[in-house]
Order: sequence, then C-alpha cells, then structure tokens
Amino acid sequence: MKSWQFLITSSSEFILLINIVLSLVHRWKDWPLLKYFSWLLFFSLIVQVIAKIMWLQRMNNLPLLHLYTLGEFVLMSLFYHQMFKQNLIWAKNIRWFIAIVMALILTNSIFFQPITVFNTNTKTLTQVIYIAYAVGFFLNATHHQTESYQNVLKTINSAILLYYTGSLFIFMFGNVLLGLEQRHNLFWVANALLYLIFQLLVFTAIWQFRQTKSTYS
Amino acid sequence: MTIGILIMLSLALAFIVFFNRSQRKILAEQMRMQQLRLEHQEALLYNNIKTQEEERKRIAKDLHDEVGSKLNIIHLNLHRLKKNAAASPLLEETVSDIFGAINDTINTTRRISHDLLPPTLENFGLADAIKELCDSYQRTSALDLQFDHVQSEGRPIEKMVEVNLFRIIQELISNSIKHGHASQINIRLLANNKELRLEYQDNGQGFDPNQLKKNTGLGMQNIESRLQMIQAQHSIDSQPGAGFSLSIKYPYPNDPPSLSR
Repeated sequence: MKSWQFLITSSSEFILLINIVLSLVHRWKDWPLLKYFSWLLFFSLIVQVIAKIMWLQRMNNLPLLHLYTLGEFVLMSLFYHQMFKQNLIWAKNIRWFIAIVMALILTNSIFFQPITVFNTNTKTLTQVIYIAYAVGFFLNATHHQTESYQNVLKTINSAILLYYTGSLFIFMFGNVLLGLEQRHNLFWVANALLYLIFQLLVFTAIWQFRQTKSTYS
Repeated sequence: MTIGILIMLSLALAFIVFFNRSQRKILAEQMRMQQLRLEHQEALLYNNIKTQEEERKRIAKDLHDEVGSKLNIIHLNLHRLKKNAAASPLLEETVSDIFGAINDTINTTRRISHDLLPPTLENFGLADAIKELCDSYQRTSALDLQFDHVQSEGRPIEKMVEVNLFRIIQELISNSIKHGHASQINIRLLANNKELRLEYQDNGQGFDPNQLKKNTGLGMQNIESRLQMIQAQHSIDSQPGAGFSLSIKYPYPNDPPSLSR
C-alpha cells in the first residue's frame, strides 16, 4: 500500500512541477485571475519539498501543515477575490473575512491543536470555505460567460471542488487516521489519488489556457 | 468514512455536470437571441435601403412625369409667346430670359431625376449604367475613368442587386474624388456563370485599412451595409499614398432570379 501511495504522491508532485513550469512559461502571474493560483501552486511545491526532506530526516513535518493551511487559505481567498470582486458584499467584507479566518487558524494552532499534531479543525474549516468558493463560482458562472478564460476557470474550479470535497472527511479525521494501523493507509492513498486528479485537472486548465491564448492573440 | 467520501465526491461531480449542462443551455439561448437580434438588424437594414430606393424611384418618376412634362408645356407656350413678342423688344428680352431659366430648370430636373434613378440602369442593366456614369464623369471633369466589362456566361441578376452595386460604384467614385484626390480610376465588371465580380481601383491618396476598421465613415458604412444586404463578399486593399482598391464578389444564388423588373 505504501508503495502505491509513494508512486501516486511522486506522480502528483511531478505533475505539480510541470504545472508550475508551464504556468511560468504561459506567464499566469501576468493574468490577474490566475496570478494567485499560480502562486498557490508554487507555495505547494515548496512546502511539499520541505515536508519530504523533513520526512526523510525522520522529523515531524506537521508544523508545515499548519503553515500551509494559513498560506493556502490566503492565496485561495485572493484567487477567488479576483473572480468575486464585482460583488459588492464580497468586496466590502473580504478583508475582514480573511483576517477573522486567519485569526482562527492561528488561535487553533496556538491553543487547541499545537503545531506537532494534525490541525483537523482548521483544515476542515478551510476546506468547507474552498468548497463554498467553488460552488459560489459555479452559481455565478453565467455572469462571467463572456470571460475569455471561462473554460480555464471552470476546470480549475472543478479541480478544487473535487479535491476538497473528496478529502474533506480524510482531513476531518486526520488525527484518528494517523493513529490507525498500516492497512488504514488506504485513506491517504485516496487523498494522494485525489491530489493527482487535482494536478491533472490543473494541467488540463493550463492546456486550455494555451489554446484560448492562441485563439485570442 | 469511505461512504462519506464517495457521497461527497458524487455530489461534487453531479454539481459540476449539472452546472456545465445548464451553462451550456444558457449559452445556447444567448447565442440564439444574438442571432435573432442580428437577423432583426439585417431585416431593418434591408428595409431601410429598400425604402430608400423605392422613395428615390418615386421622386425620380414624379420629377420626370409631373414636373418635367409641365416644364415642357411651359417651354412650348414660351415658344408661342416669343413669336408674338417680336413687336416689343422689352417683352422679347424678358421671354428670352425666361427661356434660359426654363431650359436650366428642365436640365436640372432631368439631371436630378437621372441621379436618383438612372433610366439606363432601369432599362439596360448594370454594365450600361456604369458605362454611362463613367462617361458623364469624363465629360465634366479631368478624371481618367476606365470601365471594362468582361462577360463570358453572365446570368441575369436581381434588380435590387444591380441597384446596390451601382450605388456602391457611385459612392466609391465620389470618395476617390473627394477624399482620395484620385486622377485615374479603373473599374472592371466580370461575369461568368457562377459569380459577378466588380473590381475598383484608384490612384488616390489611399489610407490605412486598420484605421478604417476603427473609424468607418458614413460612406463606407453605407457600402458595407449594401454589400451585406446583397450577401456579397469584399476585400479592401489600400496603403497611405498607394491608392485604393476594392474587390466585390457576388455569387449567384442557387435559384435563378426572377426576370421581372
């Protein structure tokens, strides 16, 4: 089971690397709608590389997960901010919303679930928020119909919705799963598989972006 | 937990599929509406040009039949008056002045009537009408206007198409003189059994076609509307200082047009 997990995780990391290279080649950082998502990919890679090094050194890499949860939430919220900023209620309250959730993440890491244990509370909270963002995008998708990169955004949103809904329960019961026997690693394999699908969909989005770019330029 | 994960995943998938389908439906509906708007605009344009042409025809006919014939009657009566006015030099001079004015008015009325709807176009078709137009420009200006008509297996075309192509030529010549300051214009009309081609070329100042796309004048807009109306294809070639050329291709419709004019 472990070899499967290793194979799938390595594949998704490899595709993540390709996605980062391709997003740099296609200059996603120059496109306001995709800028923060490309930063999120880059941030994920850095965290995953450090986590792997720590794991090889037999160090507890869970503190990185706490840091990743915080960074991921900020970048993901900024990514959706680019799509929702025309909504007045969103535009007025987004700063407060990000600040409050960040405060909750930090409070949880300091007082409730220290950085040496799985931050299931905040992982669950942020994942529910991402699912809400993705659903919100689909519900408002008709307003962005004329947007040239609508198909790219739809694919990225599908990736986000599928990955975070699929892994919601896995992270919700992360601490329980960590304490279980080896055979229950199946859930982590499922998570790795979902992450692989996520990266493959991002790759598809980059491909669609390349085609749309050549059509409109 | 496995069931929970599967349920969540299925829900997410169903959600994505549902919104993709509904979005496609909305997009299809929007495209249908856009198509309807476009068709409505085309119909409006068609009716506008058609009404304009009918009105021109009516005014030309009224001018020729009503005003023209009455002016001719005045002209005849003046002849009679002139014979009787030989005794009085003052009266004879006044009648001569009226004669001049009446002749001018008859000529002006005829010119306006011809400009509104050339009888040659009405009776002999497009090629003869263009030839007559070119001759009239050459008689009254220093413009070198060449017209070449090549017909292999031409087919009769609808009057409406002929009128629109003639108006386009009128507009193009006017543009070449007014904006292009051209001294030479070449027009070629080529007809075969499949299509009618009209090629127009001048040696005027020319312009940047990209600028034309951004800022189309009323004349060019009118030309494009007429081409759109008769469903003809066209291509413009021009460069600042290198003249202007326009090529029009009118493919004959599958059903032979009605010969009634």
